[in-house]
Amino acid sequence: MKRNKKMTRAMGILLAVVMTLGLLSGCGGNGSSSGGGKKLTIGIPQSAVVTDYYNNSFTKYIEEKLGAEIEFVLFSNANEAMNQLSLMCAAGDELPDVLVGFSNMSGSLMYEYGEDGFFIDMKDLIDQYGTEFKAHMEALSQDEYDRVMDFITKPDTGAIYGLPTYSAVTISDYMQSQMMINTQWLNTLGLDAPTNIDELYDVLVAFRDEDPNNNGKADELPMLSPAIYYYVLNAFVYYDSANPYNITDGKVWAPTVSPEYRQALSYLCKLYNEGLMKFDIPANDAKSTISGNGTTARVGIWCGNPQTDMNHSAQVLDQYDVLEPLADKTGKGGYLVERPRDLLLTGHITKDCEDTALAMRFLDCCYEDGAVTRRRHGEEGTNWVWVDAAEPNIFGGMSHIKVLNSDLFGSNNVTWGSLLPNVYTDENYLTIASTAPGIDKEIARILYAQTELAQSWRKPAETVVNLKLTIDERAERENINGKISTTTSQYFGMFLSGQLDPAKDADWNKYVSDMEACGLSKLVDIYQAAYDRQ
Amino acid sequence: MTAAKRNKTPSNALIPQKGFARFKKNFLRDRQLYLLIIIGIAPFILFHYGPMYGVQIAFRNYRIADGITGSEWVGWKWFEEFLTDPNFKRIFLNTLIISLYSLVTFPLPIIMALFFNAMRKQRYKGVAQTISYMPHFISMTVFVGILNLILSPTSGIYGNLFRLFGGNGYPADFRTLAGSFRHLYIWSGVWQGMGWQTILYTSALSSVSSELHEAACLDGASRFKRIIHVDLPAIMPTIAIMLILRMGGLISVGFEKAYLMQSPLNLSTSELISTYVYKRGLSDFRRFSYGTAVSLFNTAINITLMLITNYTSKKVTENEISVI
Repeated sequence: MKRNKKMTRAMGILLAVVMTLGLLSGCGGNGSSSGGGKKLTIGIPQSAVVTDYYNNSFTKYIEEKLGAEIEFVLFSNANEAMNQLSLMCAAGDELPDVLVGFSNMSGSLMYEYGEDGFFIDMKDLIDQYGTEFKAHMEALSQDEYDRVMDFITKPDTGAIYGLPTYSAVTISDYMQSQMMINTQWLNTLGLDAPTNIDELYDVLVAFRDEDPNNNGKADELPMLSPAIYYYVLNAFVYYDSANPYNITDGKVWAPTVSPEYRQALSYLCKLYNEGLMKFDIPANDAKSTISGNGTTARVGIWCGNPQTDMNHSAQVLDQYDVLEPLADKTGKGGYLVERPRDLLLTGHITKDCEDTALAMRFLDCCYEDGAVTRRRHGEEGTNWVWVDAAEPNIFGGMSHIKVLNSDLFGSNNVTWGSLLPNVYTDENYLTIASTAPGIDKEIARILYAQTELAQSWRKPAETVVNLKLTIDERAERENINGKISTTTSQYFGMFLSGQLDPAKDADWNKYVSDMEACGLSKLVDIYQAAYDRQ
Repeated sequence: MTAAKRNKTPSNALIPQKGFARFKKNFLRDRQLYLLIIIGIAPFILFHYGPMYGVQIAFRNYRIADGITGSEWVGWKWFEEFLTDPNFKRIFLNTLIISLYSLVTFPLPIIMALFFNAMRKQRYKGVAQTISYMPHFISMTVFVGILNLILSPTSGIYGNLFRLFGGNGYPADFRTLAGSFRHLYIWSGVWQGMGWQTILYTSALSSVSSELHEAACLDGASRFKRIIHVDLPAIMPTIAIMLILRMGGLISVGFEKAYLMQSPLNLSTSELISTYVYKRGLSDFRRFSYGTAVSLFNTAINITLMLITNYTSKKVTENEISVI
């Protein structure tokens, strides 16, 4: 018995020691510092494709540049990261020195973080250390320069709480997504590409009924994609889903409650009910839906990103061509929503940063062309090499970089995945060589056509996109917009699924009055006031 | 206090003491037992009662810089904003309907547990039970992913079956239809959770005395009669407690599944209070107050419902079954 007791006690002590050791080793983790050297903590939304942030060639590159060690605080994806950040601040946790890749940050939210002392003003730091940033900014045109600076500068105090990612490239491989039509089907059926909504309807019916892919099966989907209705809406009225407010003759109005929008809804209902349009949501479904078993196209018209939606394989893409914006019955309409060049807030220095100079040097170093190339294409030598004689790239430009193996959309440990503070230009961005497996000639052809169309197509004379709002107005806009976007999409679903009928006055009025209750007129007034000020 | 009451022994009853004196005496005598309770109570105080202090931000215009107590007091502002939101009525109804609908499926695990219990072959029973638990361990994101793949009208099993049995083209896409969201939500939930929910009932059933069954057999009760008259009454208290607890969570419909299953077309039925709060309240810290207010509103309804059920149960069972 006595021996047993001893054994028990010994076991107890052993267990306690093991558990304590376990706890302690848990604390060590990746933070094991080499002592003495400088250290920078970077908060970054984690990318699913990056396998390792520490043993990562981009990390090594940055560490070498800075002469400092990098530690990471990994957040979830860019969407959730915003919630995590606001919770961290509310809980009083220590923030990482630098935040990068929080691309969902809105201007007014950033000001608030700055006002409350969570982000520091970088104005002086930029003057002192921001050489690369300044150089890239000065290379922009005056309009673009003003737009970016307005975006990052707090209007009343002039403080800068964040650095931007700005895309100044002429052809982007992810920005555009326009309607694409299967030209091979059109040829098979002897049809012309539709130019207005009536012709669109006829073409879709033919796609549905006449077996354009010649396989004897009724497996054709005439029109597909969750976002395609924007393009159909634009046949009736200019409708920018991100800023659904228009200006005509100096008056701001909301297209979402206009009679044209109502007509468009009826038209969409007709397409939807007759099986001419599908809403196939999951993005991972797009490829198998569009290309079926791989070589037979199943979709007549779709809209999306030919690169990501097709998962970078393009077996059937050669059948598709860009479809010009459609007109409505009267020949009016036919708008193409111009998406402004991407401008996001992606770099911030927080209150807990001790070595602000180091932090600023890090952010500035992201703007270097070399860093951009590494961020996009990976490690020099392994993934890409410099070539002396420039070769034409698939977008028609010349490139000094030859990409050997650039499929960085798959898992890798040579990039960080998330958006970093950058100014993309044709020189540092469009360096993808035609040999790169990540991008295909057909994809490039479509992207090129999409970009050309976007640049050449007529645009509304004035839009609300660049109206300057005061801080209070912005907060009000965000509040109202939150309600309005929920209401719009809920009603859109109800109209399309037949719960409500846009042609019925009662249903339509209910929708309009709900929109009003959300504060639609108030927001129109805010835009009107901003417009009148300018 | 309840613990003190239960520990009342005859020796105490001999010397009548009242109130605090009695409590103190009992406390000192049972101090070691009280010490043990601390382990159970501490997490509640730390993680459930402690944070309640922060609920006050529902009545304030919370700003991180000003802190919880320093923020401006705005009273019922956020509640008013939520209740006057044009979306409120629909969102509230959606939540209510889906909760009541899920309540309809409450008896299913009970029936399944009774079936399991009536199975003769222990081995089959074990296998069947294990299989039915399995879906419970699939994470919600993966689960909804599976659902999406199966129900894809173009490439999923559902679409393929449709074509196999002579369908032409593509069937309706249930994933995006507003009308099918609730059914999909509830019945996939039944599939995922039913096996797991049987565990409690199965364990309650295993404690039914075999003598009762033998006696019933002697009286000539059939297998079905024995289920109705022996098994069911035996697990009635468990059922009642589960129902009370279920009522307590009635309006707090799980957030993640609805959020994952949302699509632009089914928003009119799939937007629930929890998803709306998440979208509008959490991502922007200036709206923490709003989110808190809506959650508080939610909780108030839940507590009321639970108290009503509890009270009814107390009345019906003459104080035998209640959680409070």
